[in-house]
Amino acid sequence: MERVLRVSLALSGLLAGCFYTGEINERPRAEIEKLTPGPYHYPGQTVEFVARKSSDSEDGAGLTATWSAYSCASATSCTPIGDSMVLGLDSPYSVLIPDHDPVQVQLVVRDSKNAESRDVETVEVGNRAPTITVQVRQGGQAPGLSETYVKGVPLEVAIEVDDPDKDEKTVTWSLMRPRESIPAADTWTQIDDNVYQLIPDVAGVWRVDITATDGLPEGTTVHMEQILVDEDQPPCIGTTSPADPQSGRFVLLRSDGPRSFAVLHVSDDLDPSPRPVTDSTFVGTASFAWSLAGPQTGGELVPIAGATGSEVVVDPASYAPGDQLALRVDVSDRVARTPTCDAADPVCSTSDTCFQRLTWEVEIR
Amino acid sequence: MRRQWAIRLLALAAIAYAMACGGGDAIDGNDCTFSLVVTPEPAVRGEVVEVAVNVDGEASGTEVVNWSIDYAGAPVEFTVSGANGDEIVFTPEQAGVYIISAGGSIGTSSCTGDFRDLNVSEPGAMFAPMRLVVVPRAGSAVPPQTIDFQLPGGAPYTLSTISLDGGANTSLYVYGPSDPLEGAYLRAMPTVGDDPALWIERFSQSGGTVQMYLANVAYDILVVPDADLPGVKWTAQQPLDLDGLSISADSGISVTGTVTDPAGDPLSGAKVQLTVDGAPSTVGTTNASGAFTLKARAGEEVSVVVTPPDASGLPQLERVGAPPVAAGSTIAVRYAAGLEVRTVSPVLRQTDGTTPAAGARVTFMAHPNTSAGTIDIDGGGAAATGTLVRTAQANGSGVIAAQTLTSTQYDVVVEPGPSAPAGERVRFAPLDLRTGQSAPASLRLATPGHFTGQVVDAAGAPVAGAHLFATPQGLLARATTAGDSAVTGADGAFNLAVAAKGLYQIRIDGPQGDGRALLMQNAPDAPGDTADLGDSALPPTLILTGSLSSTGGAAVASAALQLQCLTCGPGNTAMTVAEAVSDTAGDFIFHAPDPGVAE
Repeated sequence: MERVLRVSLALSGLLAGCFYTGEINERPRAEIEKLTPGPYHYPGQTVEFVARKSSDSEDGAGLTATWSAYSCASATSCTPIGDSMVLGLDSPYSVLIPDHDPVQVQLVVRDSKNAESRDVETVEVGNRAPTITVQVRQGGQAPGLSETYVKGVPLEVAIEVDDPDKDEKTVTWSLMRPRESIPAADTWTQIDDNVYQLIPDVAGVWRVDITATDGLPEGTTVHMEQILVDEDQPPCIGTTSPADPQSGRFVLLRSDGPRSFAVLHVSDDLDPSPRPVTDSTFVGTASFAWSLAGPQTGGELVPIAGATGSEVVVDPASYAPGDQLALRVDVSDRVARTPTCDAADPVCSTSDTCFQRLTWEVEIR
Repeated sequence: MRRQWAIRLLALAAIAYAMACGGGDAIDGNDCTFSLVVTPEPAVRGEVVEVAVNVDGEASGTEVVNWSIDYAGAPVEFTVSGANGDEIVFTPEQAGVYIISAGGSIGTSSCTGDFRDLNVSEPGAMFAPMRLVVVPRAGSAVPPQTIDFQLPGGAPYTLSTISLDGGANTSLYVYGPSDPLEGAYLRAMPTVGDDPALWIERFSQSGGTVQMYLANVAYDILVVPDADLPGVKWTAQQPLDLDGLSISADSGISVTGTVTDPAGDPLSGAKVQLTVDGAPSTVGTTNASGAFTLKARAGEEVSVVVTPPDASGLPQLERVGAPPVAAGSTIAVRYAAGLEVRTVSPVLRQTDGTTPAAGARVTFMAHPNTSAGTIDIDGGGAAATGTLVRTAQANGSGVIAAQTLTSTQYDVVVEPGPSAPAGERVRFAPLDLRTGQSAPASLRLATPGHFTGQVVDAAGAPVAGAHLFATPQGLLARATTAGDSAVTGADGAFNLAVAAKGLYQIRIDGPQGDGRALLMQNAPDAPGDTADLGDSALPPTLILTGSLSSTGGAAVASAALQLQCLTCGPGNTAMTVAEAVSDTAGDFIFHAPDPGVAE
């Protein structure tokens, strides 16, 4: 009896399966495709997804994609990011990553008979460390014009700290002094959150370490700014007009008319010329002293009164053809220095490339 | 003021960052390049600006553009449009320089970004014609050159990147009559413009070689040998035509002549020089017979200068527009028969009239005489203008050597010696030495006259720390001690010590190179008097920036730059209004005069 009952149940089940003739709806397949490349993304970044690889073998045209995203502080604590959205399969879904928590993106694909499938993708959110930009400014330190800063003269170390993830950040400063330094109260002074003033009391290598951190893993940046401090350097005559005074005797024709002899450029740590456009109160400008020797001076070099600018004008009409002139310029900065050459020398220099005095030899024709 | 450049660097860094990180990881190399198209450019404040990205390259896929606009260090809002976010629009609310940058990616390719400095001018901005004179440092392959532009007023302005003429490496060879000439002076002058800052001057080296970099413009070439040879001038030469050429500075032609004094007697020791078509001859000196020989080039445009020996007391004669000279030409120089000379020996004294002015100098400057003599070339004679300038220096007792001078009217400049007491300054005075007038027994120094006043800014506020330079003009320009300089005090006041009756150019520079004014001013008539100039206003300025690069795109560093306003000088003449030097990135900044905005 028991055996008959078992066979009957088996047969009835078999018959029910073989002879059901209505439709059987299959569930669609849901698949998230991330359009924005990369395994890691960052706060503030928009990441795009699309459901176009989802499918349904029966009624693909009638599929809808419902998207939602969550910021998950932990496996059990997720917060929705915006409202869920129903889109076509080919329409991209954008998620703006709010913070450093992983983002779970959920896709539900539903067919016209409300059968649905679900796919979930977790976006790992990385951390980027703050960036630090440092500017050190003292005097005429336009880039490349001077490589050192001057002892005893205040300089400003200014920073700009940015966090690409817009995280809260903290900044710490530390000053590394040369061993010989005996700091005074005003050696290292904070001006504001982003600016310190340094008055170096000795020449040498100073270093300012700036540390910025957002408190997260991989979130610390250290910038070490090396500051070379030296004594005030003597000014160096750069470009002149006429160029290269010591190369020979220049000819000035009477028909040329008045001609300017000029020092177009003096490089110096604090007193360059022309004075650069800067609101720095430490920068000055070079001083000039001109002398002329000619027939009217009996051949002796005499200072040209009032000629304290970077040029003087010589009028050849004041001379006769064949007259020979010597026009000398001396440049100086704010420091009184012991001359490195004899008063009669036509040139004066502190090195092969740094001249404080030049002389043009000129013949009137 | 370097903030703008820091911002530009940050913009570039942002582009680089976007290229490296903006699209996440797994970004390939640059298969695409963005270039910005800005409409309109330049823009006007308050009017909509459209910016689009043009893409060049093979990359395909989703286009992502990261935009930024910066004005004076602050981000500017904009609206993204375009199918792929590759267009933006914004309305500039301030005039000035906006930095627009775009970086990004296409598919998996990061793109080379682009940035643009956009000048936004004020509505109704007025324009001033300006010229930038660029003088690269010595040894640079980039030749001196100029850039003309119109500067709009009312807001900062940028010239962006200026691509300079890279210069043609040009070698010339200077030869004398038989051998290469070493030490000859060579000057290349652009035919357009007469600014000596653009001249390239060299001295021939061993083998007569002269090497220089010339801009792609025509040059006049002047060669003056350092020998007893006449100069040579070539006009309107193109650099490509010059390279490798030899300039023959041969002996030229011989010109002979004589110089006779007012009595018709030979005048020995006179120096004679011609300038023929812009090239100077050698200097011929007369012998005891009054005869001279010089070497010159044959040519059409001739001027002659005859400088007699000081002892003759006669004026220098000059004739311009003289007839042509050719081989064998003869010149006859005759001083006018009516010229008389006299000898004077005044003692130079301090202003008290009694204390000798040790080491002082006196310069006698005769009024020009248009009939002081004649200069005859091959029979073509004409009157020559006579001028006489003579300087003598006093000994420790204030005594000068006796001076023989033409009997005529003079202006004299008496200048203090190097050890003169303070307050002993230049006297500039007339002196009548015509026949019958008594010769002065002494000449005195003078107390200075003064220019006083106050430097103010465009709003009328006093300017402290402004620099003033008083430079004597005209006859007084020959004096080396007549100028003065000063710096204004806290109240903007200045006091310049000058020579009474002199004409002066007064240059006023703002304390930080911000603004320059130029005045021509007559000094007071009497020593000790003061001419109050009142308020001298520095013009308002704006910030002008730019960057220099050579043809290959390399930065041109340490170039000296002069900014000239072509209408800002006295009488709407050109005037240098600011100077600057390019930094290692080729960047420069000026305080330029602000042309203003129409009411």
